[in-house]
Amino acid sequence: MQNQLYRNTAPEFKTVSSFNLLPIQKFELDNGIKVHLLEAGSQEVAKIDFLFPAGSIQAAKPLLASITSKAMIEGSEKYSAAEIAEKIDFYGAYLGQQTVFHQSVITLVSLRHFLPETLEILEDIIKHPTFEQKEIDTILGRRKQKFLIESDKVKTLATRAFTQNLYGKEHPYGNYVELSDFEKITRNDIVDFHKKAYIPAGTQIIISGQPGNNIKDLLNKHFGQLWNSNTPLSDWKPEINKELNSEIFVPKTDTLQSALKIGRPLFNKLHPDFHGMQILNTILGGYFGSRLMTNIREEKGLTYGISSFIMTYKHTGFILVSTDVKAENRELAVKEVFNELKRLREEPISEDELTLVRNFLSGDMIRNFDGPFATSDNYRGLIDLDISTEYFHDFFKVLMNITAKDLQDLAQKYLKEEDFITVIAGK
Amino acid sequence: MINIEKRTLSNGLRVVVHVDRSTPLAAINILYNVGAKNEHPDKTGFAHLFEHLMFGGSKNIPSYDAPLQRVGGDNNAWTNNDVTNYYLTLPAENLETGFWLESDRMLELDFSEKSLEVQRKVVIEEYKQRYLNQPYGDIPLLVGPMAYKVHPYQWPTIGKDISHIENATLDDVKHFFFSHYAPNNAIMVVSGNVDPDNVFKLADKWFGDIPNRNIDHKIIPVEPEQTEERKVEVERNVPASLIHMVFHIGSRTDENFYTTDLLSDVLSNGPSSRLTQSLIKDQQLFSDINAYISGDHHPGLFTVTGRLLPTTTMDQAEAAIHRELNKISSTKVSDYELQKVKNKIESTLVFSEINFLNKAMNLAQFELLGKAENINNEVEKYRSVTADGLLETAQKTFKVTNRSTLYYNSKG
Repeated sequence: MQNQLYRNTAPEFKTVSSFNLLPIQKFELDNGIKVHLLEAGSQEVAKIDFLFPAGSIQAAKPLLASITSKAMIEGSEKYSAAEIAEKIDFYGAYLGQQTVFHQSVITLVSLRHFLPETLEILEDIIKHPTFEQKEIDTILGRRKQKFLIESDKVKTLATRAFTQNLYGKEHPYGNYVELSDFEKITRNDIVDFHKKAYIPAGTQIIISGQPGNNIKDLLNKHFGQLWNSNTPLSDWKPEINKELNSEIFVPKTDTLQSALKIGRPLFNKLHPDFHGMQILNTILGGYFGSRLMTNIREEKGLTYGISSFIMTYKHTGFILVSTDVKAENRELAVKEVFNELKRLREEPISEDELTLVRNFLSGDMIRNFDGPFATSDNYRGLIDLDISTEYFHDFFKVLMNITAKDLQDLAQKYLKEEDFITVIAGK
Repeated sequence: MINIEKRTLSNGLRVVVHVDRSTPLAAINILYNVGAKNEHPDKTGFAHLFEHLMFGGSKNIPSYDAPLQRVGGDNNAWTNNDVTNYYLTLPAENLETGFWLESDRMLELDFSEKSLEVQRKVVIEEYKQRYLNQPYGDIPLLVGPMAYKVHPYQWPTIGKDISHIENATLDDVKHFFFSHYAPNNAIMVVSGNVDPDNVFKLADKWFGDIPNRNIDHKIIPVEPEQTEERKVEVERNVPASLIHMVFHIGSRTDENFYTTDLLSDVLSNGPSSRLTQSLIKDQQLFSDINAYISGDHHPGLFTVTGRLLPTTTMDQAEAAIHRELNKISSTKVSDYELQKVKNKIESTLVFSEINFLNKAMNLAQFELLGKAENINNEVEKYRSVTADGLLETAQKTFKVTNRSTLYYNSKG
């Protein structure tokens, strides 16, 4: 038999003391498109993200950017919509699109040995989409129905009310879309936007996985020419609303739970306090053992889940606490959220909790950068602001060195009750 | 090819190791062979309630989460009809912390009124959030009892009736634990940057002295063959009507599983699939449509579900789905189309082998259903599916008398 087991004593462990990032190679295509390559991984698979300066900011009209991006893969000069779908499926590949504020991203995931075929199709999609009216109508119809279903969820209603309060109804950051916007999108708008935004200038490519040695040649063959000489459409900074409503109620009667969003405007990733705020947010509501989860779920059982997060855009950001609770628990939940903010302002965090959060977050960094695909997803978040990977190393340094006093200072600066906005959707 | 080493401890715990040196991390996945189907009909939702209670502290360790977070780890769990699955990831050098935590909660939970009281409330809120406060959230509550008359798959994992959770006592909970949570009813898979000999040593050290237990192998009634078409119609305050059809099929271990899976792929895997091309794009009847199979351990369901566009009537929607199912039941799928869905499956399997945690979860399922090594035969099994097999399976599956349909009408 073995030695006595001490089950009430934790085994020895090591703390994470350094942070390593996969190397990122950079090169340019013949036309100046910047390529970022993370070559790693055990499987013969590559993911290629094309980041076009074609986001909702550049489109400056609700729905235009996302509908254009969806409509692109529905038919090109060489291939009908059905043929594109057929070929991509036949090669076992995946084609996805995502429209964010400052970019539209087209993602191709493909087995390495099919890249010559899949990239050839993608070239025609990007350069020569046909934008047939019938396809546009189908996309609009489906999108409208999704919009209606989303509009039926209290959490969506509350989030929209929050961002509209911060950024207004004009700027895309406000996320304001109304039903009549669906009638205002024309084929001409789409054709015109495509011509002005899916262009070599300002486009970047991120490749992760194992794309093979000839990837630069392949990309040059399909995307290296100056196929369009337009320059990127102009940026658009939001005007932050000066007079914010501090309480917003969005009534919805046929609901069992109310969605609760409590937050305040913050800043983007370049702000000197940003890394510290990420750590403070983790303590507040950023992981399963957070103050909010412990108090409101694990001790009081008021909700299935409560969390807080920091959202950053190119020009600004916000911090938001988010939960769903039944109507009769709503007031108590709001009160407890503000109590937790107050505790962070008034009491320094214990060394024990700080160590726990530091160790959890350093483990989380390893998870977030484990392998080429995870790394590229995180790296993509830096492209908007044109910042280097030093950003991640800086965060790690702050994480290792931040003190309870630093965190309390941050709480006193940014977690003041009077700066927060409370949005309730439901009953 | 996924490398595998395995041992069984003397108390019956099966330990499977997969080494992946491309990550600095390790995963521990523990699967307990207990799901909603093992519950008594008057005490449903217990398997899932347990998933919550398992984080409320164990015999010698007051909190599960904090010690794991302290060594850079993270964890979660899920419950389905058949199993409850717990998993964690952490830096590989801290692997032993995972063994310490997982073995103590397999040994015995810290059964407390307080933990039960809180998790009851949390689960009730989860029930509301997922099933009642979401457009279309109650579909599982309507479809299960229509398709299954005697088999426990009739109730969802959250429970048949929320009063079962409200009334759960500490004695019920203890009884459930000791009759289902045991080394001889669990499979542990460790994957990532680990050394198999070290894993087996740690397994002996931490799990070796946990006694095996008498498992409640209650007889689960077999669902009799469905002999008549079933229909349920409801009206709800949702933006769009929906139609949801289910057909009985075999289990995950049925030889016909691979054929049935590819049948659902021909219908709806990828943008070129039949239902997408025909019903969304050509006929413009639906905004979304999907076909999928359940993969349950006992005979499961083939589901076809679609959301109607505002201009489509329920009759048109139903007839259009029937036409597609009739077509695939009467005309053989072409070699090209079969090859396409096989290619797609092969690349999906390649993608699924990238992540070490994903591999740990899959290996646990394969070990439970036979042996972990079977994971490496999947591609071959899919490759051997034939067009004749698809036709035969379609004919057998899509019979009117095997069909249950939910008409979920929008009030608006």
